[in-house]
Amino acid sequence: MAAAETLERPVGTDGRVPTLQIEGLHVAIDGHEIIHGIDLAVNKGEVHAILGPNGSGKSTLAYALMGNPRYEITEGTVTFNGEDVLEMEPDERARAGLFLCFQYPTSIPGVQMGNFLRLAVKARFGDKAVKTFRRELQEKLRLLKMDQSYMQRYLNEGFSGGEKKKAEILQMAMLKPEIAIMDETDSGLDVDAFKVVADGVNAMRGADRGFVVITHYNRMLEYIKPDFVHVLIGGKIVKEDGPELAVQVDQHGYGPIIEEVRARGEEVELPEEGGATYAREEPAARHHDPFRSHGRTAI
Amino acid sequence: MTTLVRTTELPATLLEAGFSEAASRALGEWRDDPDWVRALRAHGWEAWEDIPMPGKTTEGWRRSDLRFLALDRVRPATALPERAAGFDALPRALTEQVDMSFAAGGVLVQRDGGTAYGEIVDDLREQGVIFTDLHTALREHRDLLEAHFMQLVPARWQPGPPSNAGKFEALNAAFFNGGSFVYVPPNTTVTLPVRSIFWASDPAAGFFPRSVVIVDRGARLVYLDEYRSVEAPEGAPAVFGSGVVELYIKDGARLDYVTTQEWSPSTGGFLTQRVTLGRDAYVNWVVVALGGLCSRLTADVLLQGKGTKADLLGLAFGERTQVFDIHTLQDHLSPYTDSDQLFKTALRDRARLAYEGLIYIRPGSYGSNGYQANKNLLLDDTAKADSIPMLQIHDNDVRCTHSSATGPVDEHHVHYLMTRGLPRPQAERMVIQGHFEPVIGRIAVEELKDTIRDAVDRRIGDR
Repeated sequence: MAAAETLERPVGTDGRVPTLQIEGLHVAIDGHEIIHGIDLAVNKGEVHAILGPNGSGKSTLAYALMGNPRYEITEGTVTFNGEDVLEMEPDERARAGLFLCFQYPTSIPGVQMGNFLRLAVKARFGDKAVKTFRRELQEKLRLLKMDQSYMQRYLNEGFSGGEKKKAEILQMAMLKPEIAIMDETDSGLDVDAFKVVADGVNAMRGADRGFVVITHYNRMLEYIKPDFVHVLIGGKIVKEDGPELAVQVDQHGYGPIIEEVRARGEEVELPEEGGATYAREEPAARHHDPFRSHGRTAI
Repeated sequence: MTTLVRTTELPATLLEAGFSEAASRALGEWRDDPDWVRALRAHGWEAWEDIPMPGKTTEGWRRSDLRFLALDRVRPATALPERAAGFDALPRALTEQVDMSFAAGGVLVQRDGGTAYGEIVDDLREQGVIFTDLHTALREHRDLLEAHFMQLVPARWQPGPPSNAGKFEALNAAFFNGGSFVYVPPNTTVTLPVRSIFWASDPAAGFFPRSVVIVDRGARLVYLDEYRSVEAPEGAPAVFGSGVVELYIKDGARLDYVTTQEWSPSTGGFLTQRVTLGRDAYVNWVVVALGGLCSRLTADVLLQGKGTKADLLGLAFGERTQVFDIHTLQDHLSPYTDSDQLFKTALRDRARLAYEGLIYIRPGSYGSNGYQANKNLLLDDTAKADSIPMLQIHDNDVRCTHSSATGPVDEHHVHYLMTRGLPRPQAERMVIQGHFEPVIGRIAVEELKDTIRDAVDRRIGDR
């Protein structure tokens, strides 16, 4: 896999193993390869942005990293603190400190947000963490301008788009991951909700946490300043650079980059119009009707 | 609880296995029924003889499994129990199963048809609330009972849709033995739950409780009905019985009602419960079905008065080879009536569910809304659910929906919870618990919610 024009590698420079290291990753859905070899290394303390048009494989990368069983890893390795992530179940990845902030969070009827959060915190940090749970929860709710009543509501059920995203950030804040992958967290947010979410993320930035921010708008990156920007097109990272790359994409779109890649003599697989593969496979409506429904009549 | 049950010896005919006219009559005499009640019992026997035994071709019984029936090996009744000084003095086999952690306005425990323990809070009695065993009530409160006893579920019940042959309701009419009577006077609020617990402790005897509940105009009642039974001995036929409850909610009254069926795994039985609602009345009814080998439950709501509203919620959890046969009716008989029904089940091992629910909009019920949903989780490939939601609409300007869904635990849900660190068994357990939560959340007594949650949780087992 011809690497894109690689500038200074952001990680590994001091000889450490990166917190999250992806090498030569290929991912397929239903036998159809979406990601054709990605290398990415993310350290704690860094914010990486992954930019790309719809359907370029951004969300596929996110789902694959979190261990969604539909996403088949056909080649490559992923390690987290040196451990083989691909051998881990999704819950083991989470407990190790990997977090995915979903673009379309599932709603789960009957599961109370508060109960669920407490059990998740306990799973990650053990029984001790339950003691400080309430106090910490109050603090995070305030940070995200969320009402206490959220805790009695069923997980994401009947939540607006903005509420769902806030709920994802709240979970991230409580689970304190080492690496958080944020999949289009800015999509579907109005200006106010967007600001709250971005502030929440910024409040979590620090030396003990790394971020992979997936987006196709620059809006997000104006608030959450990335250290590194990677452009993903056709299942490959075709260009990497510092934060200025995001500005360049914002001003000129992906056209110049595609030209550049073609000039290097590489193929660029452009997505079909209107469509992310995962978005077709993962319609939000499905979550409202989790059963194989039949015999439904409305009059 | 004012009258002690007479200590008459149990007549010999009732100790012999099998049901007969003589036994029905002897039972009425033994329980000291007034004459007008004996006549109803006689109608019950006639109906039992006339109505054919439902079979695989009887509408509404196609999916029922009556193989557990061994009528000629069941005794119609057994000796009445001694009265216990208090709840804790009752046999541990029963007290261990019952949640007595919360305050009640009244408790009546009947063992094999006789009162084993019963108390009512004085404050309620002073307000005119009546809570007693059925037989005492039939003798002492004819004024209240004549217009209500065997009216909603008569001796010869000729039910319309959803069809129910009325066979085992007739058997109950001929052999009813025990049951409760609750009466709440107009504009009286009873928020402390009133509880009836029916325990079948003699596996060789049938159990036939029949209860009447009247919530008078503008009154309010929280009523809990609990059914339990002992195990049948090895090689013996299933413990058998048929219970009936008639509930009358008068104009502007409200009933919060919980039915809990936790029969032993070797019990086969029938429960028929019907609620009728007067003008602007409301019922919030939660049915919990967890026990039994084969159990048939009929839960009917009759929206008789204008502007009435009924919420009927239910849950069942089947394991091993349990069979649940559940029939619900939302019968809209007046304009502007609202009914909402949600029945949720989970089935594991080789458990089976047959669910039939009907929303019936009668002519003249314009402006009404009827909703119905049945959702079943199949936890093993060997479990099976048949769900038949039905609609019959005979008026315009109504809104009705029904839905039915059966499937395994949703992998999307499990995966999401796993990505937050919960191991698969815990994630699955949480999704299954969540499945029932919209029903459990509607139980009128807070403490009882946790008891039911625990009962469900035990049945989920190790996943």
